[in-house]
Amino acid sequence: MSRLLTAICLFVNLGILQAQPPAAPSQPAPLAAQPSQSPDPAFKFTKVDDALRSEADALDEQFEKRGLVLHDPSLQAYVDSIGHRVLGDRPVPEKVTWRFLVVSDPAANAFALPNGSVYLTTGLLALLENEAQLAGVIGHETAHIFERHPYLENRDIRKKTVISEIIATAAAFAPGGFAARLATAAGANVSTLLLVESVYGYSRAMESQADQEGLVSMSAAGYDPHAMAVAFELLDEESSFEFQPRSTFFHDHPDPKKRREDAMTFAGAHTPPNPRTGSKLDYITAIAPAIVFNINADLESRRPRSAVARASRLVEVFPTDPQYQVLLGESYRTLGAKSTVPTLDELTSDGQSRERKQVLSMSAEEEQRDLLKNPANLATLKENQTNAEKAFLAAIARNPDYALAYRELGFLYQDEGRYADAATNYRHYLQLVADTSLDRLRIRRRLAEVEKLQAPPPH
Amino acid sequence: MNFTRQTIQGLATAIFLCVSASTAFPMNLPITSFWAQRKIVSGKFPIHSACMMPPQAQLNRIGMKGAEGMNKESDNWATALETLVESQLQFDSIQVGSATDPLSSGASNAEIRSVISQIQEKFSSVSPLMRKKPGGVSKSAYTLGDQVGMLPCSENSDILVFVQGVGQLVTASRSSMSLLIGGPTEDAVLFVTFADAKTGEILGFIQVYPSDASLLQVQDAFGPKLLQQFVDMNVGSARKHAAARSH
Repeated sequence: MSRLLTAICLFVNLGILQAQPPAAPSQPAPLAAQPSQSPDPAFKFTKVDDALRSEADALDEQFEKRGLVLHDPSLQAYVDSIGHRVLGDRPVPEKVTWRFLVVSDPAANAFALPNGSVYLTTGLLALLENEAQLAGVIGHETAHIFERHPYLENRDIRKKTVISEIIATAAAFAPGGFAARLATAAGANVSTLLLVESVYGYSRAMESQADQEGLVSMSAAGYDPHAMAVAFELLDEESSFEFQPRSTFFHDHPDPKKRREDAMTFAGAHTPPNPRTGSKLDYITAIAPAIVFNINADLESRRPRSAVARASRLVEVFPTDPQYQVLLGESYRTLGAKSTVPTLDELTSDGQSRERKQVLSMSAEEEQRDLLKNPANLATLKENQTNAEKAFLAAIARNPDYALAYRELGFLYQDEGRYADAATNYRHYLQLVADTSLDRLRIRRRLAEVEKLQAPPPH
Repeated sequence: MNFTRQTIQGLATAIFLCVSASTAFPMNLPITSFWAQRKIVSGKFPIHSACMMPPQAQLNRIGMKGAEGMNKESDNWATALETLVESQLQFDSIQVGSATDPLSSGASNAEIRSVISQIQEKFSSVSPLMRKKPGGVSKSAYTLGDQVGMLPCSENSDILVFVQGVGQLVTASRSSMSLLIGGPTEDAVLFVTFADAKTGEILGFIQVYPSDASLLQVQDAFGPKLLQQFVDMNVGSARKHAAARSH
């Protein structure tokens, strides 16, 4: 991800949360009870539409090629089953092949390409709580495809991009050289932007339509539409939890409150008898591989709070699994001098702007040094280190042969300056880990480093 | 009244001059440059071997009716940029390997892909900062962490090389229009980043803007300038070759 993910993912970060709010209250939402059977028959494909579809195919290939798509058979089967349940027996629209894919991206997001590929990010799966919420999201995304929104939006955007080109060109020749050149470079990613806007930046009317169609689809499939309202709430909370150092478009337009209210209104009138929600335990069991993947991505993309929250959730459900304990410990260690949840000060606009500045202009190491200028944060650091140690020791207590726990404990002790303890744990790790492990060389280097540091200084 | 007229005329002239200058000299601010740690430039950290990370590049085409995607062409362009950097390094007597090569590690492709993905994720979080404050490179401000040591190629390489490119092509008709009334022109930037293959520390960062050649002819567009950056940065035997050329 972010992540840059790769270059594509630098720009692919909007989705359901960032989508524009639905129609104004003066326009009452249609309360259909059955999903639309087929896309608008009047829709005629043009050369421009075909070009967009082949761009979407190429993007699918790029996601695969860059290793961003998760291929876990049980996770895939779970997502496929919900996807097809939501689709029901509706006819497949022309030039659409339905595919439900999990993509590695810590941002909670979902998007659909015009060719029928529906992408769910690991961040989204890790955030949701049950099957019905996921069904709601899938219903929303498939509605965009049924209604041909990517093509319609693309036709509209092609006119708008001329403006962005002029802006980019103006920036290119403004005084300042380097910065101006970068502005051009950023503005020049038009083709990706084009596609991304097509799949994310829909008009209010389209988003509103997809919300409604999504609710209709999920309830027709037997799911409780109230779950969609809860999903909007979770997405809303997520947005204030941790700053996301990714470029976003239309990021400042979300209105999840309104969407939540609309979902509740719909649910009040159209909840099916004996609605299906799915238990939290079943859900987390099914998507655990995605959460694990996502915690690692969170840690690499400076979202340690999210990593702690997600690892805590896994540990709460599976307290005996050493893998999850180690992930929790690693998340606490990476959190460093940061608190596990935003402080009241951080939630103020000044605090948010300070955090934004820290993330956008400081490296992770600089940020930690900056935090430690405040003595109060030193206590937070100690507390996080203690929690990390507890988690690693718990993993070892559960399974004394679990190699990764020793490696992580070594990292923690090295951070704390406990070089002898670090060396002991690195040695233990090297004894336990397979000869083919890609990590052996790194740990041997670390071991040599801490042995050198603990050696008494020469007289 | 006269004052107002003169002001309007003055503004109109200024706008005309700005547009003319921008269209007539589209490449007049090519700030090709590099930032590197002192140990690289001084030769205290000699580079003998390099490991190429998978390249990342994005091309776009602007036509009369707006932008057109070039995802497939972007892949080819990325490969071409990678080949350019790779051959340049080899020319400067640097042994080049690939990050995807398992070598003798016994690791599966999936394992290596997972490590590469982690490192790319980290690089993605560091590179915007680096572009914003490139001076930090010489102060050792940026690191990818020692997880780079998990790549099999790390053992026998001095540096990891990241190649990134962004380019904008313009169709012939749009180009003609731009000459007349201003507008987008062909442009691109190539970023090459060197990281210590053992510690992950960013050692050097190069940005290269193309010459007048077509962006798709990467050797002509970027080659000479990249070569000069390697000389200035003291990469491999680049300076020796430059000295030989000057004689």
